[in-house]
Amino acid sequence: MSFSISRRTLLRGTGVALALPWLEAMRPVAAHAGPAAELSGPPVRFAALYMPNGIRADTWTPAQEGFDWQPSQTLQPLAELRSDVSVLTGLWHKATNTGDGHYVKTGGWLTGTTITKTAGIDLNSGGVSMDQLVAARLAEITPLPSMELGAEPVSKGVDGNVGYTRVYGSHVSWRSPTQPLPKEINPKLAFERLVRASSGGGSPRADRSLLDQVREDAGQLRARLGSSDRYRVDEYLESVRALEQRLDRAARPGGPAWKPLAPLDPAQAPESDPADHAERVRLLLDVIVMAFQTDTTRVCTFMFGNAVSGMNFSFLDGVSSGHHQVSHHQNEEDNLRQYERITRWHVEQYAYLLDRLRQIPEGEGNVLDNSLILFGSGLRDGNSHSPVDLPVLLAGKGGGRIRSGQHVRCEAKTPMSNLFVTMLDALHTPVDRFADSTGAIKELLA
Amino acid sequence: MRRSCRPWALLTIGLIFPATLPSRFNAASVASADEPAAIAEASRAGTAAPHPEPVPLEMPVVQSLLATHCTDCHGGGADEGGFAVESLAELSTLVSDFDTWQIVRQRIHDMEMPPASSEPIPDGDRDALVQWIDQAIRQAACDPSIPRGPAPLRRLTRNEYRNTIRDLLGIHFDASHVLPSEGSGGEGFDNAAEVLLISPLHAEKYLDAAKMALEHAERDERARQNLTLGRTDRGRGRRGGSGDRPQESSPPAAAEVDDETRAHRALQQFAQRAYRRPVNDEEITPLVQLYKAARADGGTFESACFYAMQGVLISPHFLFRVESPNETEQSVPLTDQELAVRLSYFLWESMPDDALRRAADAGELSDPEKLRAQVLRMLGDTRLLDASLSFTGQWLGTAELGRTRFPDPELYPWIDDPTRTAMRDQPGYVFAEILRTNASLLELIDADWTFLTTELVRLYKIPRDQLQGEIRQHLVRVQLPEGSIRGSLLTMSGVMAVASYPKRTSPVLRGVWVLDNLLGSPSPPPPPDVPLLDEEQVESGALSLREQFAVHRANPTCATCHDRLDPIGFALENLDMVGRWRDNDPAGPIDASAQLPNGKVIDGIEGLKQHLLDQRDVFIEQLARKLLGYALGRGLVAADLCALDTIVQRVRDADYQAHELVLAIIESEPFRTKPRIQL
Repeated sequence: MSFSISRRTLLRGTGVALALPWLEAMRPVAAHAGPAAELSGPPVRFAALYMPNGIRADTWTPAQEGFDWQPSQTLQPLAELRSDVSVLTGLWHKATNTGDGHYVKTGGWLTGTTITKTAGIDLNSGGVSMDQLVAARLAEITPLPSMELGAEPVSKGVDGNVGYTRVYGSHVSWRSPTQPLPKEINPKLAFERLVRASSGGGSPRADRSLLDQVREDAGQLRARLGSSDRYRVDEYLESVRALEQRLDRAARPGGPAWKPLAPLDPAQAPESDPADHAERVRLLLDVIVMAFQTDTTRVCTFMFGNAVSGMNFSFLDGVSSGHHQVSHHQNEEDNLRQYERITRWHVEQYAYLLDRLRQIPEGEGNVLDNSLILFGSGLRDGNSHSPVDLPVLLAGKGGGRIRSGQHVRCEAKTPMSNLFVTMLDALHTPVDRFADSTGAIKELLA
Repeated sequence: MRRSCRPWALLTIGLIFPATLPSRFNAASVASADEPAAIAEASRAGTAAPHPEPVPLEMPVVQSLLATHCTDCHGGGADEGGFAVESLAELSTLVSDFDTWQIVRQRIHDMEMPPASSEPIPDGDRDALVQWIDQAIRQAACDPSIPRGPAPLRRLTRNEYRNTIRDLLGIHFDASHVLPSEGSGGEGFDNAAEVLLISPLHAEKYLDAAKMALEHAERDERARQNLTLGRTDRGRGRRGGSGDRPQESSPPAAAEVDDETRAHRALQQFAQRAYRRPVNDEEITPLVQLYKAARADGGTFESACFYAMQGVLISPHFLFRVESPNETEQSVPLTDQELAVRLSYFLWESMPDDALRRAADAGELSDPEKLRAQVLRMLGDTRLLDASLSFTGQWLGTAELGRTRFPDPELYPWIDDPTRTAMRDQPGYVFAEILRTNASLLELIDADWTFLTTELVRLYKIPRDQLQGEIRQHLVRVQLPEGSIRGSLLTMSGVMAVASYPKRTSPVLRGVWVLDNLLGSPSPPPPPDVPLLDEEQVESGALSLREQFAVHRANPTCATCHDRLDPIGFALENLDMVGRWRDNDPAGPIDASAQLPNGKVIDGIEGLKQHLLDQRDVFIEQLARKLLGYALGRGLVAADLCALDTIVQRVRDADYQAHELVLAIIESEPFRTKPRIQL
């Protein structure tokens, strides 16, 4: 409840006019140089895998630093991928060291900013997520600018205990501070979208005529509304525009910028709505592999679950609890054991994705070499909700720009945004600064 | 302030403090002599005294309490966190510094303030302060000059989209499954305008959904004919309901006019139903152009019509609920057509039907009697169930069953999809029935009937010979045997499933569930580093749950909240993780009684029912708040609290009859009017 005019209203009040300069300010420095030259050659992809509820801290960090790192108990699934994966220790998001235990740390995971506490009216992440900077940069290159996936539907309701809408805990990709991107949770629908996007869909010309009509309707409607409502219509117009661009790109003569090695085979469509969590995760990770392999998009985020997810992991041996419940382990041995097992399961899934990407040859190497695949959580120990020393894994060589396969121990409380700056550079999206960044992580630079 | 439309009544409760808290409750009990005696000892969350004597407000008392407990850091020159109690010295600050008052209330209520390092506020003072702030704010809320809540443009939710497409096209097809899943905001519902976001993905998904739905309609003989001939409301083909929705007169036979005229008519009819308002020729012409383009491409009359209809279904006029902007200085009443749309999405989560649209077109909804008649008609329609399932499922959290919450498959391998669906939908069927039959809303807490399926009868272990009538695969109303505990939200399988951990019950989760959802009194999150239960010991039965909790509550930090939560949860311990009755848990026989901090004992499920009935007005206010938030599709603002009080008062005066709640909401100012637009 509020009498005051919300920040969001103010933003709406001036509509896009106010929002845009801000976006411009955040826009990558090289954005206007034209994508042609430096984006030719094998694409560089980016995926971020978000795991809710943190990690068991004492079994995560490898003992050795540098290139000789040996997997800790929880990182065992990465043993075979050691030379492709870096472990980063010492990073944090200072801006998420406030608010509540989960929502601030999820909504701000890829933005490095502080979300606004609200039941909805002031929804604001404080920033654009780094994946969306890359997507904006590569938008003209691939059929889909980005793809957002997740294994749980958006959590309903407002968390009355802490006063945040659960929308925050269900989204990590923010196209603008007020626009979180919805995630696809149905593997079949995600796959079909890839097929449609890469083939241009059934009837691009007929669809274009419909969209022209919609734009006229929206324009007329917009003119009749107050500014706060215009904002919503503008969002819809943007959405229509995004679809038009996709149709146009598909119809463009000369084909895509990068010739994919493998076309999508519609017959590979996965199961629609698997009841089993593990099955759903695998199928969605397969969709990421297909998207990257076919160059349908180069940017993807994936949420294993939402903040505070109580996903029942009793399908794992020795686990009898929900994820969030067991993350509040209180140093009880049995809880810690289950917590570790659940975390390790997530690392296993990460390893599965990396291994699949590594098996696809591309140029001199493989798709993983031409990717950066981030894995992490918004907090470290689920019992204390601390965002200090976040669990961070980074795989792939970013097309040769990143040195992989090391355990990098950064100075304590190094901004996670420094990692983002480093990655954005490798992803052809250089920025001077991202959130609270203070520079690149030099150890990662090839 | 003093122009308030509300008597000073509620403020009196807070005015007797600080010294004599017990007398506060005595005063309440005297004032409510016609209520059951137990109401006098109602929870500390507070039962509003129905008709106390008006006493003038004494702000100095509040100030002295704040001064006593807060000024070390927030007064006398200190203003830590930018707050000093002196800033709230005047009554006018209830409006001008409303947000600050709310924060003060929240901090005190959640025991975040004073901090642990300071002298704590005695419980009585804390409750009194919180209660006074609540009520003083409410009083301020009735000042006609304070800002009204917004009436924002909103797109259809997934559920609304599904139902609207079904009713618009006359098909049984869920076109919403391709749309992105949605969160919620405001009072906790997915229709909260502020979280009905639009992403770049949406246009693409809406086009997908429109194509799929129209392809389905084109294959359906009856739907195809109705739509291309411009008939309405036919072939919805739903079971039951009023069933006698009249049709508009059939258009002239097709042979009399050319195709383009027919297309024009069909598209006009379609567009005005889809846009939920009359449409003009300027809006139809472009649609006819789409039709003509498709014909020129070799399409048939029908396929070209359906193509143009795609244009309607992705138009913002269809996807958004549009109310014409109010450019005057004050709130103004909705037009009849706008009111019809609010009514239908509130009571049906769908578009107005012919009868409602005609009533609106004829200006009948401005007539209170005719409006009332329409509302009662709508409450008798089967579409009420759509809204009830949606509202109840989100209010109680049971909608999450089969979405993000699943009963443990190892413990309950026999809970299949139909069982889970019945568990999920039982509360919504019961609430719809209460609305439909104008029963007492208190039957949500205690009734001698419920809705059951064959699966639920088995789950609840009700002897079949004690049930009359036929039990089916779908939920049907059943008279419960004498003494059955099953006629209550509290004992429903779906509720127990969302208020338990996968492998064990949790008195805490259940206590929080009851306080949050039924009494509107959320608890603060546990402080960091609270000792948790030892799962192993609970599951193995080495230590009973209750013994574990006793250890837990010995810690004073924990006890403040758990003394309030746990007795409620313990009362439900005879129900397992899916609501089956049990006499024992792994540690032995269950003791389902516990004492509240005020000494009141809650003994088992019947005791808990009575405990809630003792606080019936707190429960009704919570239900009314939720339903008003759902009806308005936004979070409530201060001004809405004035309407809420009137609604609660009306329901109470009507002996808690369900129709009164719906009518009072529909007749409330925030539902009937739209505020000035923000330019």
